[in-house]
Amino acid sequence: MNENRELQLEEVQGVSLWKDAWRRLLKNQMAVIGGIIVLLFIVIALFAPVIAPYSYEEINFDNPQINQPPSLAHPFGTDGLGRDLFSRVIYGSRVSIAIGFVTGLVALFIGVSYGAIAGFVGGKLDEMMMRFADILYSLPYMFFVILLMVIFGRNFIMLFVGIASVSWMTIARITRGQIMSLKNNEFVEAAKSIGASRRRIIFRHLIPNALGPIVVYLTLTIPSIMLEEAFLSFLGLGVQAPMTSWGLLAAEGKGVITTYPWQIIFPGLALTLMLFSLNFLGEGLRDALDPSQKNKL
Amino acid sequence: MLRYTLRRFLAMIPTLFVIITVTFFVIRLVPGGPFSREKALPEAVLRNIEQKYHLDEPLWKQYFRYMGDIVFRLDFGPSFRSRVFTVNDIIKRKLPVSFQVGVEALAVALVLGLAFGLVSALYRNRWPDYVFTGVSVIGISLPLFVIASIFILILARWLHLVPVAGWGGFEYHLIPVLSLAWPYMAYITRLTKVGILENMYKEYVMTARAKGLSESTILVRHVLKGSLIPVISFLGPAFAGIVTGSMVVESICNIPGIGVEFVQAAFNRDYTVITGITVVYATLLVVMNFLVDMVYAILDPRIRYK
Repeated sequence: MNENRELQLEEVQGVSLWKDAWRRLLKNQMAVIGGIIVLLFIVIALFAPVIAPYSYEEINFDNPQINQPPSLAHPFGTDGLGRDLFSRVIYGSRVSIAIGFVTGLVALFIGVSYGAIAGFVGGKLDEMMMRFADILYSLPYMFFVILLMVIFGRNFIMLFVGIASVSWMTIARITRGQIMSLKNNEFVEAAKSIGASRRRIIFRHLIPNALGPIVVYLTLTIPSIMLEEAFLSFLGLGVQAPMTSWGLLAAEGKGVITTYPWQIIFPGLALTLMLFSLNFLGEGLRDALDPSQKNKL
Repeated sequence: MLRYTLRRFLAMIPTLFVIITVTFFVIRLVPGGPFSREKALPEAVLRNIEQKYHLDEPLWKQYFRYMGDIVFRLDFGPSFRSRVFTVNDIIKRKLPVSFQVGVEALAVALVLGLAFGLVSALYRNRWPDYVFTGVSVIGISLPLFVIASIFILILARWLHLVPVAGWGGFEYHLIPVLSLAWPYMAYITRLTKVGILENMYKEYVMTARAKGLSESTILVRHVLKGSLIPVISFLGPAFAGIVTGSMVVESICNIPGIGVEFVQAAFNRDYTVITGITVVYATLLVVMNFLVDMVYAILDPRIRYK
């Protein structure tokens, strides 16, 4: 998110839309708090080795260390192998956040290119491309992600590819709609008249102008991607040990929920806090960039 | 209406065709094949097994055999891992359990969501509105396994009202159904509230009021009917979400349903079971979307002429 922010700050000079949006965003307290928490989580993830008091894989079988409830030495308690849960939640944030943001960007790239081409070219090609997206849309996509994970092995890269391959359709639709409404504007005519190529018109003129709603939707896509990662890891089909993520930590705590509930509560809380913050930030951005959408679902 | 029904019905066919084709070919992309083990099987044994499952035939022949079996005999073939059960056996045994949980969750979400939405709209900006809005915000943003954990901790561990996990009588349904229903109840609450508020001041409602109808008649017959449309169109995605969510809930509550079976098959790389369950679920989903579209067209005649 911080990248986005910096981008906006730089563009503020002279571009009143972004300046306006930025001011509106700062007025929205929930969005600001959400943004701060998201930034905090990103800092924690980046500096995990410095912040975490213990190593995330340090096993400690000394009897009093296993399944300890939260204490001063172990703020979130310890797990069945005597590992410090606080450190594991900190390290888990790395995978969860990385997957959310990287997959979000991949989905953004696919969706924007696909939607822009369909919207700009129009006609038969547009109809075919959107029909294809519609069919993909109606599939139970989680099953296909699981299918992909089964076939190509449960590794990190496939997790990105699998989730990205089902997350781009809505972005494609939004982009297409934007492009269609923009493509008959004068500035496109002007670009055409000086002989700009199709590709140049799409990527240099149309997409930058359609960016507002796309950015908004991206910030709402990232939490849903993080949720999907947690879902897969919770079922044991996502991230594999010794790597860990919030979903996987919760899965490990699942079996002992009645005896050592903190083992599922803390990873769950971390994920929940992150999702809440991202959603508030996303909704704030939507209200800021596109006030006409305010109060809609 | 008949033409619209027919058109929507025929539109299901290419979707189902794509689903079966994609699952069939995707699963054949697997390097090695379903019977490659750490320790290689003797050549002759492998050939025998492949012959038994028709894996020695050319791909297009296997494809038409698979497609034909499904279309004409509803037969998903044998399970590659279990010698006793076919895919059909597994689906027949496990689907009803998941179906029951799913339908109950959908019903709870619909009933509570409509009720909460109605109350929120009628008591807008007073405490019932705030309570239900809070309840729905929590339902929308919490991951399903956190919701289920909260229910297990509160209802089972601290209050001892229901068993922690397992499957059986009514007391076993409470946690999985409530956790599955909550997020969709939350959405339905919001949709209902917004819908009612939007319709409350429309001209046709004023007409009804001018005719001297009672407030409750206006609410039920006029306002509610108009505001139900977004709720109905949400039922398709809600069904899809409940189907996927059932994997998590079944695994956390130890329910012998098809969601857990699917995850297990994914672990065991039991390809026919995976494809079979995917096709069954996709079909259910497509049929559900069809039904939703039909109800939609009945409630809103404009949609038929688009």
